[in-house]
Amino acid sequence: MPALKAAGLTFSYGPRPLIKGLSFELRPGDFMCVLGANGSGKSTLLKLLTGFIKPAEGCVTLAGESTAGMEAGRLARLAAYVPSETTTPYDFSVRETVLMGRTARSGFWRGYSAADEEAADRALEETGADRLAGRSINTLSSGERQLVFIAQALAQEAKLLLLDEPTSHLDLKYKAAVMNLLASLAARNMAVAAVLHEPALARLGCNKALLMGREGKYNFGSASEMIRPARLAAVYGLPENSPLLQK
Amino acid sequence: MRITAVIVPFLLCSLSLPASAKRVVSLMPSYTEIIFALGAGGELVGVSNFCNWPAETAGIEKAGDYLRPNVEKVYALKPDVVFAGAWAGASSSKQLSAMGVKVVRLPEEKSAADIFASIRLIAAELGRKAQGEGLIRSLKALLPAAAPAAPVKVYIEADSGGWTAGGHSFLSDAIMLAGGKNIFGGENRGYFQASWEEVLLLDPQAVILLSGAKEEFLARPMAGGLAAVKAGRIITGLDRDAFSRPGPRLFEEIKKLKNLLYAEK
Amino acid sequence: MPKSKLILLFCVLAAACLFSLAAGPAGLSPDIIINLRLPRTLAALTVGAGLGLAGALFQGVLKNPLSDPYILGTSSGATAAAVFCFLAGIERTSPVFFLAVFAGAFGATFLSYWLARAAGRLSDAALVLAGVAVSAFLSAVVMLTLSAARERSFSLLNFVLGGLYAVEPGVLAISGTVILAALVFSGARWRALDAMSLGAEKAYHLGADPERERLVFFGLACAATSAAVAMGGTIGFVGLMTPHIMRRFTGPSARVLAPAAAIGGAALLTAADAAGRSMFSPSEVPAGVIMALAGAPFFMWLLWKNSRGRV
Repeated sequence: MPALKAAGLTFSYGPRPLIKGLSFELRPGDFMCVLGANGSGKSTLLKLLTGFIKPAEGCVTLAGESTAGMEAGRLARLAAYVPSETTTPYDFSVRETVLMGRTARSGFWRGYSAADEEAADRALEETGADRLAGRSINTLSSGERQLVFIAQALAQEAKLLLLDEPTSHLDLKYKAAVMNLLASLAARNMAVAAVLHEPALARLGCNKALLMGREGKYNFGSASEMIRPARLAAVYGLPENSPLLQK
Repeated sequence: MRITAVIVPFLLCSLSLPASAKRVVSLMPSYTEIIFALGAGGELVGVSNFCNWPAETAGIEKAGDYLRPNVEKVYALKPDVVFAGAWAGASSSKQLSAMGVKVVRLPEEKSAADIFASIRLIAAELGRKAQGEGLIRSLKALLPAAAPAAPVKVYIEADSGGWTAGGHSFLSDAIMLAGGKNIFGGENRGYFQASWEEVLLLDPQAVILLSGAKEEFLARPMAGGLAAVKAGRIITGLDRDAFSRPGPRLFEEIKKLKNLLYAEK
Repeated sequence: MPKSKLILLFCVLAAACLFSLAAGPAGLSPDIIINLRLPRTLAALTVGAGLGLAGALFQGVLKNPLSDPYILGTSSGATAAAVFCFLAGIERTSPVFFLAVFAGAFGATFLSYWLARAAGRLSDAALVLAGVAVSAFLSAVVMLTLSAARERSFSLLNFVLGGLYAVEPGVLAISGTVILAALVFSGARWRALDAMSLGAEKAYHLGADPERERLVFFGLACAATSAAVAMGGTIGFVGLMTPHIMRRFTGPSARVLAPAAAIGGAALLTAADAAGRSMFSPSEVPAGVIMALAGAPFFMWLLWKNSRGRV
């Protein structure tokens, strides 16, 4: 069963279609990058996939369940989402933040259960954020922060992880660290989809790629087939010999 | 010749009386009431929105409230004289003066004597000095002759929420003239919100409520322990307007209050 | 939260209660303490708890440290509804009165929220601006109503100014129950409130439906605010200040912050009310004035701090 299946998604903010009849599917273990020029609808696509915004046409199924009319609580157990940047004015500790990943899995009243604590600890360890556990998230560098929010998503124990430009605010070291982490998650049978702003990063472990062009045109396929200067040049509107696209 | 020398000015004077009748605007209810008591109500061409006594005021143009009179309206009434409180609306009376309108600003009345002073000023302005003195005499006649040796301690609540009068208010004087003693008479201020605990502590023998219901008062914590409540002296029968305006009607109310304070229960 | 801080918080509350029970011109007369200062202290505790709780809920659900029932227009909405009820002759102890006040509070809050959102991204400053606009309009409506209602305008103005001069036991009972219920109910949903303080989009993806949570927490905060307004009129800044002070002790998680803000608000308003009625004897300064004196500079400081990022 695919972890994620999008069928005929169509969406627009105005009269011109942003996403038109988009279909693809991800299996457990897939690591897909979503590439495209600014305004091609990459971030919108992620929000359509989680049901945060509703498509005009088409449907999304997560592990066989349609997201139409799905409760936020159920959705959070099936898919976790990490925005490019999460800010809060309040000084939550790193551990508290990761524990919030358990919101959908804990009931009213009681504090966090032992299972919640364990899931948080595992997530902290896997992301290497355990050394930060006691710090306030507002004292972290943007790289450290991004790791914490990935840890939060992992604590949700969903089989699908969606990330919106997870590396855009990071320096090279953290870009590599985050991509390696995502590849290792896919290796343990999660399905991962990340919107990336640099095609070069896609070479760090992606096996699938979704290229989004103008007016709802798109291409989906294996990364090796998609991440080629000819295709990317068309997507970004660059000449094929641009140094930005060369290996 | 001699006769004409006497008669002609007299005739002129008497002839000119109706002709010289002034156009008067009063911006305070108490001034309006004084002007009517002087017999000059017919000269009023404008009064404040709050002027509702005597009944004739209903037919007179309203010129705004006393804090913010409608300057254009007052000017349009072409008054010979405007009576305004000195303590409020200073800028509007300045505006009126600048436009050539005569504004008489009367000081705030803090005692019965101040009320008489206002009557004298208004009477003089309207050329009715004799009527003024007559009015003062008749008002004084209404006052009780002598203060009792042990005046009744009175708490006056002008507005619910503990708003009461200190020694700088004519209300305090009015209570004294009625044979009472304002429990807050020693406070050097006019109008203020008194703490209920202080009222309980000072334990008035009579309570005057100018607004608000007796039931609400009796429901306050420990109200039942007040000497005034035990003696049944919660006075709600005073005319709120008459008692809270420094005008001629106050003196009738003082007489009424004296009877209420010293009535046998 | 460490136990020592919890004990400290209760010590502060106890100190405020003692101050409120002991302060006054009559000294330590047992009669006065039991019959007069005790009901008044209970009223101040209740109103303060309601406003403190409402502040914590608004700041969490809107992810906005500048929000509180006074700034968002919630209090103005409740006050306007209360004034209309007084003029219509509806008793303060009637359920209709509470429903109307709640409707006023809820309507004003949503109007501010909707205006801020319509203005574009829901920024902290846009919400404050929208709240100011809504409050200003509602205050103008109240003032217009007051100047039309000549006979009773002064006692109504007294209510609008905010204070606890006359405590009606019936109103105290209803308000206390409403605020306690709001506190218990928000205690059951603290996870959702924490999720909301990471923003609506993040909350959705953590499993808390933002539309629903916004409705729930606006409802709870408005219920607590209307119960407080029904008793004490418009009292500002308790809801703004308390959560900020409490976060230093409890951290930002609503699990401890919401009840702590209720306790802290209770202590704060009780102390302010006691100061207002004892320090200027024999006259009394309404608790709302004392709170504004302390709260407005606090708000300025908060704005300044907010302009530099974290709070």
